[in-house]
Amino acid sequence: MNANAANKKIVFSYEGPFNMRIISSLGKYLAEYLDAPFETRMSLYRVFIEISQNVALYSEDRVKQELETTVGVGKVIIETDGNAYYCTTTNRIRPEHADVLVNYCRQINEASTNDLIKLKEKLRRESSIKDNGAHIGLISIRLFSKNLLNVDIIKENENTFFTISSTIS
Amino acid sequence: MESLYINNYPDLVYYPLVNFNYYSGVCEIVGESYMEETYKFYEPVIRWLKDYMQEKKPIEFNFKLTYFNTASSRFILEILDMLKSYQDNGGQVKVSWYYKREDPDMLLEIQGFEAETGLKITPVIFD
Repeated sequence: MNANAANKKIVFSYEGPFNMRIISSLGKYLAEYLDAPFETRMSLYRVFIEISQNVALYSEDRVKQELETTVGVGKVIIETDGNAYYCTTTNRIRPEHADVLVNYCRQINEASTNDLIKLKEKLRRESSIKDNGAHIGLISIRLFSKNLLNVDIIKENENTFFTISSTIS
Repeated sequence: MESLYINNYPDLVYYPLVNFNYYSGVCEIVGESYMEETYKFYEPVIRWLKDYMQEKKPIEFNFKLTYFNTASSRFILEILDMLKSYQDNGGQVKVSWYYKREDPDMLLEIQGFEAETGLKITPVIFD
């Protein structure tokens, strides 16, 4: 355990299907019960919902829900070191998607806020209204948090996992 | 044509309340919006608005959304585009967006939608 990890306190963690009822309940805890300013709680709530919906939509591990839809399975942990909150998710991905995701996050981190807003607007307008995601969730996470995305790819045996962490200060 | 009222899931905060009044022309979307099947939820909302616009009546549209995810924002953009087009063709349109004073991120979203669509959106602070 590194020094940073040792100083962090877990607010909550969850592992399982990222069903919307579960995500929503956990998110409401962040929005309403944390001892933090309103703006911090709202940023954390918005980041949490977006980052969780990424798992729900794109995790390779999936379980069936009602009406023959499926939802992604993964992990989320919310931590704080007293100065900031850290929202981290991990989910399994296809190995061939690892480089694509890492490069996309690097581009997002290197872009200015104005460029990200323009990119978000462009991608949103180009997306179909029939899509469940407008593929701008990672950009929104970066904009809501006002901090860089931290991403990592973990390989375990045959499996590839994508970890993304957002800092809200 | 009748008014549109959607409040099918009052216990699920990720579905907003939709209250479109055919007689007064006041249309409101209230709460939060980040459901799983966004298209299924918003398709009747868009359809109602299209039908209403055929009647050339004034529209007062009030957004009272405190949070919406990226998929929902696609539909908000669709609605604002429709309202702008209606206005450009002679329709009477007034759009307001209610937000909390301590939520500057929401004000930025409102200003972003206004810049992108060219439609005047009046930010209204509520506490």
